[in-house]
Amino acid sequence: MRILMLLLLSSWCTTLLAATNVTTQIYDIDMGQVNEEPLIFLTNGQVVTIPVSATSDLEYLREAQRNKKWLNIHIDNKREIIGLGPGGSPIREIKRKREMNIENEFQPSILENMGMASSFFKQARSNARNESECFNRAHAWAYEWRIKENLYSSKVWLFFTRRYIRKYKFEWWFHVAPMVHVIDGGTVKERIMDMKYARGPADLKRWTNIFIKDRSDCPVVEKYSEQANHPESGSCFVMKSSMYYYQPVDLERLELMKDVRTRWDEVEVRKAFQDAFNEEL
Amino acid sequence: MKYFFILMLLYSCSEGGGSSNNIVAPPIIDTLETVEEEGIFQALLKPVNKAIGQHLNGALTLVKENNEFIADVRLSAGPASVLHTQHLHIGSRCPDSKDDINGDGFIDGFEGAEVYKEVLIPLDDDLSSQRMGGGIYPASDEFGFYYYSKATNFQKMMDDLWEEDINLTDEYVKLRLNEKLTLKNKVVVILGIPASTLLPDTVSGYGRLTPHQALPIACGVVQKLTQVPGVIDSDSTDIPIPRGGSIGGSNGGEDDGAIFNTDSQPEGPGNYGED
Repeated sequence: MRILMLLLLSSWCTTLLAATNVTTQIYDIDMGQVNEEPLIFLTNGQVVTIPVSATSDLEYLREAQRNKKWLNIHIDNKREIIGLGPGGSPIREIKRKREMNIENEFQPSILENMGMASSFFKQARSNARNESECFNRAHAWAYEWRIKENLYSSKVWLFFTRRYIRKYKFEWWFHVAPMVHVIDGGTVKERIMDMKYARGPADLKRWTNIFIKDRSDCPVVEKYSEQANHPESGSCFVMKSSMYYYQPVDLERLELMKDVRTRWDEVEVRKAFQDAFNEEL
Repeated sequence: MKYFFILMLLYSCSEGGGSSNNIVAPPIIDTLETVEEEGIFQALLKPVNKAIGQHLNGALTLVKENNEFIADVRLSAGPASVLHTQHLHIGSRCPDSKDDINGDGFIDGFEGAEVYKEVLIPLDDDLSSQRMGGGIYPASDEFGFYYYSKATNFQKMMDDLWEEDINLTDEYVKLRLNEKLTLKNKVVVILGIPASTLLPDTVSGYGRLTPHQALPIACGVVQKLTQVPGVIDSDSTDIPIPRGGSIGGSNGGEDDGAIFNTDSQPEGPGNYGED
């Protein structure tokens, strides 16, 4: 159950459709100021709204949040909840062991030139499901590169602050993509490989500008709490990790429990391929 | 505001011998410290009782911007599945082991309150009022996590804090009329552990709270946030260029290849999909 909840609590970056039905739990309800539409943080990754006047629905959502009930929620193209009802958990309980090892140090592969990075970019699958979640896509891409090309890639995590989400009514609270290290101009550079949102390997600023409407810089932090404890500072934060980290909760566990990830987790890889590419491994 | 200071300083000078004349001088230093400040304030939460939530992590963030007041509390790896009463107190420090008066190994609700003192702002369902929030506080999930976020009209909150304190015996205090709200150096305290937790009989409750409900688990002193963590990316790394430039890479020693074949060790590419 613990793992199930960790999976659910951290899945924050679903690609949105125009109007959609989702089965999810309620992670948080941010009421904002008087007469502001409340922000409903769903555990599937979306941030949606509900009219202030819908008091009975709000109470229903609060109760669902308290009791961790699964809900079927119908969301319109303005990301407003237009229908609510009970739903069943779509994810079966999964148990797995977790390695505890802080001694190992991940070393990313270093690509010889930008051409190689572009080649990896083009070679990656481009048939992701529209409604797939970013962390599943990133995990599947990274796994496939490792297995087929022996590429040890990294991941870059973009966290949007509460302030930014409120200001722009932004629909995600994190996004993640693979990152590779490339020799360019006599130095090793990091290039983001977001096959969903970019046309090729991008530097960090170019990548964050895709999502940060005010184009502000996103400070790069080392620890999960450095961004999580600053919900009202600026628009965004960036974290970098090895390819093995699947969800934000893994970054938090690294900080709190020294739970270093040094290998793939079967359950996560299977789930990533299923969600991202509708493929059973 | 400048004129206010000058007037107060002049008043202070002219009343320098006030105590000998039985005239009570205004608390000039206190008044100077209560200058209302805009900005972001933060209290990093630390465990109060080491035996409980030693990995606990989180922060209170307060924002005073124009006429808006926002409070966020993030708590992670705290006690699981329990209601957490949370208040901003008028004290200026968090309790530590020296405040364990009865030496039972726990800072309980009574011992803690001796240090963090009365409540100024309950971080409950309604920030604009000490009472209207109705004691509705956040509850942690089964992993000991919760996130609380509330916003209110700052003036509305101040109007409430300036009201007459009609109950001088409870743990809530009001500001003096027109006294500015100082956030810096106030103390945030999170209370509450599951009722099933074994505690010695020496652990006290506080007010109407049971020993478990009143037990302080996390505390932090509010400071003005003057810088944001992290560095701005410079599009460069300090990784040396490998000889000849190669794909290389390592996971740190463990095999990470065919995750579905734990008995056989993959030697390279081509094992995708093996099961």
